[in-house]
Amino acid sequence: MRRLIGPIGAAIVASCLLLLKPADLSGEPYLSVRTGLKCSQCHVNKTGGGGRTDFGSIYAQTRLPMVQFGFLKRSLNDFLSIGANFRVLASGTARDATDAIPRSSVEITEQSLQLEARVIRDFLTLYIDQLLGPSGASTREAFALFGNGSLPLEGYVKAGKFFLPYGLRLVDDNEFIRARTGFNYDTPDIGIELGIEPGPLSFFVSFSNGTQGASEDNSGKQIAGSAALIFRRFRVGASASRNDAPDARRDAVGGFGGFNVGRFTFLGELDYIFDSFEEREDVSQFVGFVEGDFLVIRGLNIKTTYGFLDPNRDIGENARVRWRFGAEVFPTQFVQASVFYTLLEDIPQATTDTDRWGIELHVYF
Amino acid sequence: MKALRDWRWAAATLIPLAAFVVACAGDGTGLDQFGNPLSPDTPELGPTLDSIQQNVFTPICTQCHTGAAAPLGLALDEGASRDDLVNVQSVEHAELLLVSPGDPEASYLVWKVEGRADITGGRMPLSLPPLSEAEIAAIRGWIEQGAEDN
Repeated sequence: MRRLIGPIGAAIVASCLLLLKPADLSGEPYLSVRTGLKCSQCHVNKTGGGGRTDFGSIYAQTRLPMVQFGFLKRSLNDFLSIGANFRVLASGTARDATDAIPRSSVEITEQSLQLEARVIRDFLTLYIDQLLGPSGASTREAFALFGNGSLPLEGYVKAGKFFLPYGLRLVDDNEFIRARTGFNYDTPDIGIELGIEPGPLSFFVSFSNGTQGASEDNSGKQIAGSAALIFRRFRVGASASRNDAPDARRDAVGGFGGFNVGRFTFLGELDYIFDSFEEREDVSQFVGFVEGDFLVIRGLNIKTTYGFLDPNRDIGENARVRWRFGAEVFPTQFVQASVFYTLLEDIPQATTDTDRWGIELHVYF
Repeated sequence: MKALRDWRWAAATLIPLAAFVVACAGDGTGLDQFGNPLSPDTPELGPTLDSIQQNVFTPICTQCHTGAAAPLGLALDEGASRDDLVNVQSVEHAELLLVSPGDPEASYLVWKVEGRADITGGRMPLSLPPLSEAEIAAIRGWIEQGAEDN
């Protein structure tokens, strides 16, 4: 029991010492950078996010938590594996530019189930990531995965609905690099993806409807791709995307990377977004992101992130900055608790200049 | 000793990172609260598409809902907004239309800008100040009057 109280007590104290914004947090990219592993090592979706592989489940149960109670296999048998995510978030405003009455809420932010069926071992996998709530059911990802690394150059072919390959797959969709590029957990698209992962290389390219989750109207398509070199201590990569629509086109290009120094992990991304229109002026945006993590003890991570947004490079003095400070604790396997504080720095006359706090409980399997 | 070495290396790597993290928020000179240049040509707010377009959709909503990558395929650019809204099924609540002409209560656009409890995702405009009561009233009025191209 003393073994249990020690690390949990330390985690609680450290969390309370830190003022910490609400965000969904789970297998964030920093874990991939910290371990030097590719996203495909731990996730069924080889570009990251969603259901975990057997390796990912073992890692999450044995390497992440402070204390481990036994071990549970996610594979029901050789054919079928299951997974789940459940999140409860308490959040509120800590400072509001409008001096409004402080608001707070407790809400269920995610109920999801993942199902992986290995129809032909090492060659054909069916995968579904189904959101059950909080407001109605919807399919986040559903695809068939051919090859699963057994094709030449560790290749695979994916067809269905999935997250497009671009940049760092942060779970926090509100971060500028995810919200503004439009590559986030809210915008899976339907299409086909090809990937190869020989040696340190991960290369993915997708062809999709380009409708950001809406129904297809057969007018224009999107191509998105990402390439990264991944080593034990560092990684560097680049992403690009073109999305054609009848009266407009979006091009995005960016670079990302990360490295480890002892218990410290750093990662970042820069993106340039260019929207061109037939009947109005073009708009270009610039977004950036830097994250630093410190592994205090096993199961306790302290995090600081910085986001920058220039929403229109032709307009001066309109930039926004977003800071986030937080800590996350994995007291036992399947449980993650995080506490965060987010500062949004906007132009002085904006009424969005609001700071928020958040405490989240994430139970996953 | 190893911990000390880690801190030194971390400090050394933080310096170039810090050089990047120098950009701050803009001072907002000559801009409105949404970060757009102040314009004397904006028409008075009223329950017409043109007024809503000039006062709400273009300056506020198209900060995200624009062009080829408009979230959920909903582009609110001038010339596209009515086609993408009126009698278009909501992606988030398939039983509702984004704009149901004559019926603001059954229009998911109204639900989203009012931030009702049953919406999926966040209140619109996301990460920006909520629309004013006058702006929401103009949208409701336009829908009530048939959501015409006026």
